[in-house]
Amino acid sequence: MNEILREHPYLGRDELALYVLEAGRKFKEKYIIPNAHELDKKLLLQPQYHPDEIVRKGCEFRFFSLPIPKFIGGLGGGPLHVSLLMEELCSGCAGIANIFGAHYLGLAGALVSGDLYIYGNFVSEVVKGERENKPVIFSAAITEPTAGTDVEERELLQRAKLVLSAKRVENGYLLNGRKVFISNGSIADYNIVVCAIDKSRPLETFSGFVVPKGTKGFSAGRIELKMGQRACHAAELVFEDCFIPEENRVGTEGDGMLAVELVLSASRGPVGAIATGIARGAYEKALEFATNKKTKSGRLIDKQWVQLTLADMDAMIRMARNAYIQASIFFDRFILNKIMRGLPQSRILGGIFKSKSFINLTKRDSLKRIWAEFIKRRIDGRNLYTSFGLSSFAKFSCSDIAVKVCLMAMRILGAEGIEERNFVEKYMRDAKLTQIYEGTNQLNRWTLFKTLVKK
Amino acid sequence: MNGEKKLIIDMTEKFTKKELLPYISQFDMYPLIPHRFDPGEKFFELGINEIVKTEDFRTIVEVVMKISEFCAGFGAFFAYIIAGEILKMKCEMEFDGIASIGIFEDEDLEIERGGRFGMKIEDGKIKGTKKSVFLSPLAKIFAIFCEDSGKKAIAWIKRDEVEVKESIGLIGIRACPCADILIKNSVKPLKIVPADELFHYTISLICLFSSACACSTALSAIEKASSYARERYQGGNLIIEYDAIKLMISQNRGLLETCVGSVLKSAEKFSQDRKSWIDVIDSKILASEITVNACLDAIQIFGGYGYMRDYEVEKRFRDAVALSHLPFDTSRASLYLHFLHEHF
Repeated sequence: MNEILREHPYLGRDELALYVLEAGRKFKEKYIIPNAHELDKKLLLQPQYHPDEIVRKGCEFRFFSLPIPKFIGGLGGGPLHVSLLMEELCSGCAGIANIFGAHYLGLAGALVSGDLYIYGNFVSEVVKGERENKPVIFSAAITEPTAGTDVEERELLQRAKLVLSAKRVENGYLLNGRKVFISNGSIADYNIVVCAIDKSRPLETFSGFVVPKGTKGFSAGRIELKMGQRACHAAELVFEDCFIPEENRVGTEGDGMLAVELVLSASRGPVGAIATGIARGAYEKALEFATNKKTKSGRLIDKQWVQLTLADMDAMIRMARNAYIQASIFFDRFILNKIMRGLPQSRILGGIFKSKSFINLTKRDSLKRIWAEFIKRRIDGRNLYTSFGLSSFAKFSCSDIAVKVCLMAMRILGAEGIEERNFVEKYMRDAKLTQIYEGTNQLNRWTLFKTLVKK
Repeated sequence: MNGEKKLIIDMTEKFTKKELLPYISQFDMYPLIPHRFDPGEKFFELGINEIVKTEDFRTIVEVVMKISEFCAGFGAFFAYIIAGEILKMKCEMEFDGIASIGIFEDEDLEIERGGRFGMKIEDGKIKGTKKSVFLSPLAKIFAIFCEDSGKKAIAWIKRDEVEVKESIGLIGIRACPCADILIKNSVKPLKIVPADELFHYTISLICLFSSACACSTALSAIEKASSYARERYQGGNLIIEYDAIKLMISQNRGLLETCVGSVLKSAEKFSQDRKSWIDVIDSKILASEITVNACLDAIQIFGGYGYMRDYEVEKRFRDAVALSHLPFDTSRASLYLHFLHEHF
């Protein structure tokens, strides 16, 4: 049995959890570890390079459809499964792993809406692509050049300096402006883009849209040269009179902030898992180094200071894992379950759901509205608050731990820790980003205060 | 600051801005992109030999800090050249060109026991491998720390008797080249100098310089972050108006000023008493902890932009991390400090 499952018996006999842990390990050993470091160096010189050969291998492990409900043909996993996979992959390379992570973030934007048209028309493409060994990738575009933290917090959004907006036109919307630092933005087939329809009332008009690759007026601009996690592009997205049909709106107008909160409640746990995976990778390297490194009087691992440092690292990784598992399970049970229970669960119903006439029916605005209202009523506000708080807690505590553990790992290696050839410094560079994306750790602390601390 | 010292610092600033600043991002790609020119030659043009002769470590540290304000990689480069020149002087080695110092080996040195070397002088000759030797790709002569009849010694070896391996990519201070070196055949050194005390002196020198580079680069990261916080809006306010940002800036600034004070004080003491190693290691440990945290906070203030290479805050973080491990990480340095307390 897998070590993680053995130590968390309350997860029960979760077959999918066992599957993702094993599949993640195989993928890491076969495709990530042999390539990660050369790729990292290559991307320093060519930031636009995309490792599509490695990514495509994810199809055979069904990574792309992991969180997609079974009735659409996916594996039916939730944030817990995504988190477990992320930890496993990130212990190899967070850059490659985050290509899948950013895909799940985009998918979360589509899935939490419960919008049947979006499910039938776009999400189902992921399953189809996976079967044909042609990955269909999602991304979520939230951050704007002058508004990062602002667009992830209700209170701040009202005063945010927004750059991107959607103007209502006949049968759809015209998008104008820019998004920045969008993970997978340059490669995604479908981008879930959130923006205000009326910039003077952003909170009331914040809405989500599916923007397919190749849409006229939409392009990926600059690809950033990052300190770490280079394999996963952070791109600028440019919208110039980009027409998006009404049916591509995710849910209803003005539901954008709720969607962002739902997505972040779902995704901050897995970001905690990304951080935990990075910490684990650094720890494993340090342990290996200490075991093999000879000193004049024995091995490095025989030294008490090294043993205590490794024990501290191990303890912190366990704490981080507990935090993300708690956040993921809570979202799974009390939010995702509520959304999904309203949807057709059997494959037979799923067949009807995928029929063209049904999809055409679900694109109607009136139906979208009724359905969105139905979904919203199923979500208990208090549970959403708790979920948001727990996931924010997991995100900032795991990422702070990741940075600490990586520094400790480097210490064990001493002067050799700063050398690329010993692989630990990459974990350090990768870890820092987890304190920044999905809302800075300062914002996540504030969210925890507002949701679970403040009485 | 007396007039002469001010002149040296001003000259350094002008020199760094004119000769080095335009190439910082390119040198940061080393060894993926080879160096455009040899900064060593430029540093010698600055009059390193004159600075070394004074043995005024406070002034030397201030020069290192001035260069590191712009690029800690060049600061470290300069510092390692100075360290080599000082060793030449101490060992009375008359030899032109960069001297590189070989300390690390395959086995851990056990600095907590005062440092032990696997490379030994046998029948007046030496061979073996030294790891992670800074400036080795450009060196003309090598000071190899080794053992001679059970005691520490420095064996001076000419470049043409040493095989310099491929340059090593580092997390930071990439402008300062580093490679393993191999002395394949037994070589008779140009000179063998007993180095029991000289070893601790050299370690202290590297500690002093690395903490000076780190303090300077962290201070400039915090200053950059502070300027950014006065331009960037969040939730309708400048981010400098939020307590989280104010705390990060003021706490780090305060700690870094303390650190700079400690480094300068230990440098001054080192100029007067060559055995004041304990003060130097003390300030090195302090600097290592504080500078890395300060740079982490500086990136955090910048948010996503801080993680991108264009803003050069992430570079300062990488440099600070590298420097905090040179010549030893804080755990080893703390244990070494204990050794020094016990033995000196």
